[in-house]
Amino acid sequence: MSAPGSHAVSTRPYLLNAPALGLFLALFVAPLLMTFLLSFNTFDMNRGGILDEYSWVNYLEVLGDSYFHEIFLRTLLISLAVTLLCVLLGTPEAYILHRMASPWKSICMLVILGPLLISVVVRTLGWAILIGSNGVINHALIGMGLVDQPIKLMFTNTGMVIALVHVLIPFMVLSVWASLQKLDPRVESAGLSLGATPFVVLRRIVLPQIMPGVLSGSLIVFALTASAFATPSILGGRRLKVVATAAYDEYLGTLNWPLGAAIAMLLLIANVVIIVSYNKYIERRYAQVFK
Amino acid sequence: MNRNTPLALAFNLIFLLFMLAPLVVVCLVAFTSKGYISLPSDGFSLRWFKAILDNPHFIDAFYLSFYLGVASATIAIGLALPASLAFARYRFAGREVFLAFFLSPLMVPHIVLGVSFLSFLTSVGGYGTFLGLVLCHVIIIMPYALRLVLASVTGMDRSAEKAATSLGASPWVTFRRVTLPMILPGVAGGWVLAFITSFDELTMSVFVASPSTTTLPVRMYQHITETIDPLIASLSAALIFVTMIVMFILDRAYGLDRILVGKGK
Amino acid sequence: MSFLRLEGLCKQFGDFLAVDDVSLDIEKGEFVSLLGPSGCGKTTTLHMIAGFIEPTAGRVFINGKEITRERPNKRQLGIVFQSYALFPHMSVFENVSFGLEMRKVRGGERKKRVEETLGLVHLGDFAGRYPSELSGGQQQRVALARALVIQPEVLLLDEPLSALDAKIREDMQIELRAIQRTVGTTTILVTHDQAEAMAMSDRVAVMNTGRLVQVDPPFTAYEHPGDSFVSRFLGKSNMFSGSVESVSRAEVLVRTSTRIMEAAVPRTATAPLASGAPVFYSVRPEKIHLVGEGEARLTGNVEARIFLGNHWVFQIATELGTVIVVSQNTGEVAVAEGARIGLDWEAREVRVLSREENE
Repeated sequence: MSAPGSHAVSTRPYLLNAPALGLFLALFVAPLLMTFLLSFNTFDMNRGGILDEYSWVNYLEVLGDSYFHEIFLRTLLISLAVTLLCVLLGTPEAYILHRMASPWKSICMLVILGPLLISVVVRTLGWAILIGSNGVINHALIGMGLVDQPIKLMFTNTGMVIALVHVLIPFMVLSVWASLQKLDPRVESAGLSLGATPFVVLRRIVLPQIMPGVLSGSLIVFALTASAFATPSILGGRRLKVVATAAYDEYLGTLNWPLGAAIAMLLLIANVVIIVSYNKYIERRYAQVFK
Repeated sequence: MNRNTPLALAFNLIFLLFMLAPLVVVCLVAFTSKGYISLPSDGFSLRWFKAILDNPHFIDAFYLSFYLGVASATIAIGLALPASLAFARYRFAGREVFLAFFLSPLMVPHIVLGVSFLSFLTSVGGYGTFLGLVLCHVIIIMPYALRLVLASVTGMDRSAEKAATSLGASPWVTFRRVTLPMILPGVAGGWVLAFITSFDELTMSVFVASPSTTTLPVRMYQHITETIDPLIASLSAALIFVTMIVMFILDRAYGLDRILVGKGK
Repeated sequence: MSFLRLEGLCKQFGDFLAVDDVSLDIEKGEFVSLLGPSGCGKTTTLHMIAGFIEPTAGRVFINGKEITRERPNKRQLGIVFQSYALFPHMSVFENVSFGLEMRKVRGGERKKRVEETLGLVHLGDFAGRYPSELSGGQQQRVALARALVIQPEVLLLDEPLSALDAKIREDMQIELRAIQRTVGTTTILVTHDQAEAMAMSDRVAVMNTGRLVQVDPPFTAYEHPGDSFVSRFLGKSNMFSGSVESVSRAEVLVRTSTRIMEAAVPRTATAPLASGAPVFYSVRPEKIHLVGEGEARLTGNVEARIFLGNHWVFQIATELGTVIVVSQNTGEVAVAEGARIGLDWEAREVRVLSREENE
């Protein structure tokens, strides 16, 4: 016996999804496919720019040129350094927050999470003002007589890493915080009552339970650092390029769109591969914690 | 209640200083009376805030970003709401695929989206149009809108709808009088988060924005790559103040962590 | 025809038959409980009456009119949900008024009826409050008022008291019953709490694995359970496995593992008892007396003794297994743990209930 309108029930979810689906096919799938195709186009300034010839030449150029090797390697090393620092600083901070009492806890949360709502441009500007050779830090250091020469942080890898940690560490804190929220506070008390020291409780009871949060937080930080644009562009300058700024220069500087598209595609593929495989790993490794 | 050790509290203090330092320094520099970047050593001056108002480039870009945020957040919610109802209330073939699809812009670096939108808009003649910019932003902010709306639709007690139905309400009246008001907090939160994400977006917009459709972050970025002066600091400070007000309201209404947990993944 | 009639209702979810051929006639003004463990199909049955679930087979009639395919918003039913399902964004007054608005009842009349109904549930002073400002019991009353104000043909209560504390729950049982008597609305209560069902209903309809097992007034169902499931579900019972030794006009002899025991012929036997048929020999704990060893049907050692204020509960180890005995607190300290004691009961208090071979 069929329900009245059972036909409507089976098509209704698709109808409800149709508007979003239409927009995504037109403005998400189509542009990505276009870029994918573009990355195989040949580019020659002398023959009028983008040619109607398809080849692997752009990928071979990116993968074979030591100039691009350096850019990809720098991006990887910066991402690893930022991720490591975020884990080492963000995890304890989240735990300290978790143990704080109410009014202070929310104030600290506000200070740490608030910057997420402020444009990366503004936050990077703050670092540019702080670490520039005429910047606040150097003024202070010279004023106190600690150094004679300004320390060079602007346009260095160190400067970029510091600013990127600042930009991305809220994600780390948030991720660990979310998994701490799921932790039953009595479990810690139970550990203490069984004779464990606070440090042992932290290492044997708390840490294993928040590992999924640490891992997924580090994945977010890594992926976002690898594709970061504003901070490396402003603090790295023309010389210290990363993948995102290199793609930007190919598109808007030398106008070699196919080569830029190839760089973008490699970044996208690396990003997706890392995210998917890392997620698979976390789910397999911590399947029981997620249940 | 567990207490933190003095060492932990010291760590916390340094951490907070680290988080605040660049923002505080921007706000301080904004009040300088000098013509170059420096701390306001001899009294606070509002001269650089007045200078913002005399700079039509920034004012125009601000309005553009504001309308862009409003339009794209509204469209994103308009798409996310029916989709969330479908995800929360029906089991249908392809449900997981659809959901993953709508969240997938989170996995694509904005730089990749930027170059793709640039090629696409150029080839369909949408480059330099406000509509083109809006639709690109909808793609980027859709995952945020969808997450918050979906969470509130999923978390809603559906027996209230059954109660309304049993009291004689038609499906449409039930939706308008019961469902919508009950999920409104989540929908509003999703809208605000989507608006802020759109308003702050740089990396993608830097490709799609034409000279006539330059958003505020793009304008600021272009300014900074040429010169870092007190004008840009005062503009940034003004943005920080406005964001702080929004943040306090959001935190009171929802709890900042609850909204932003969705932003991470 | 009765006022509310369920005729052969079935509901199949995939391979699972949730409700299996349920037929029930309910008179106007009657209070009937659908009682059973979770997953027995009672809530599904209620939702089929309300129109939220489409029956796979069978029909529903109210007042002689078939409503099986009627949309839920066209049925004249009042429903109180387990979670109360109040509209959190509306005040108490607006919640109760909602159903009248849907019926296009006009302002003055609406206000009068809402106030009357709020008075009925003793919430006259709370009209302006919001649900989040009320206690669980008060929210419960708002839900009841909201369902009653539309003067429904049938009131459906879906585990309405299960979210309340034990003490408030008992008060609400009495009050709910009193309100139902006052307004005289035909009422169906779904519950898994046998005490609640017995306290409130004119008849209890016991369900198990989708089937209606027994429909009787509470006293009858308790004293003359149709089968071992009802006996166990309504109160406690000591059940000794055995088989029928012989049947005479007046009594049945049951052979248990160690001895033959007598019982009166059951009044509500589901099938005529045949010699050798597997049965339970069942005695309720309060029907057993503690006596001296000599005059006893069974003897045993007191394993545990629990004092519960108005009565004692004993666990007694006997040759037939552990026997539970409940006796009134008469103001004297009862037999001590470890003591040897005799157990006795009247043959007419015994129920002989059919048993599956391997039970």
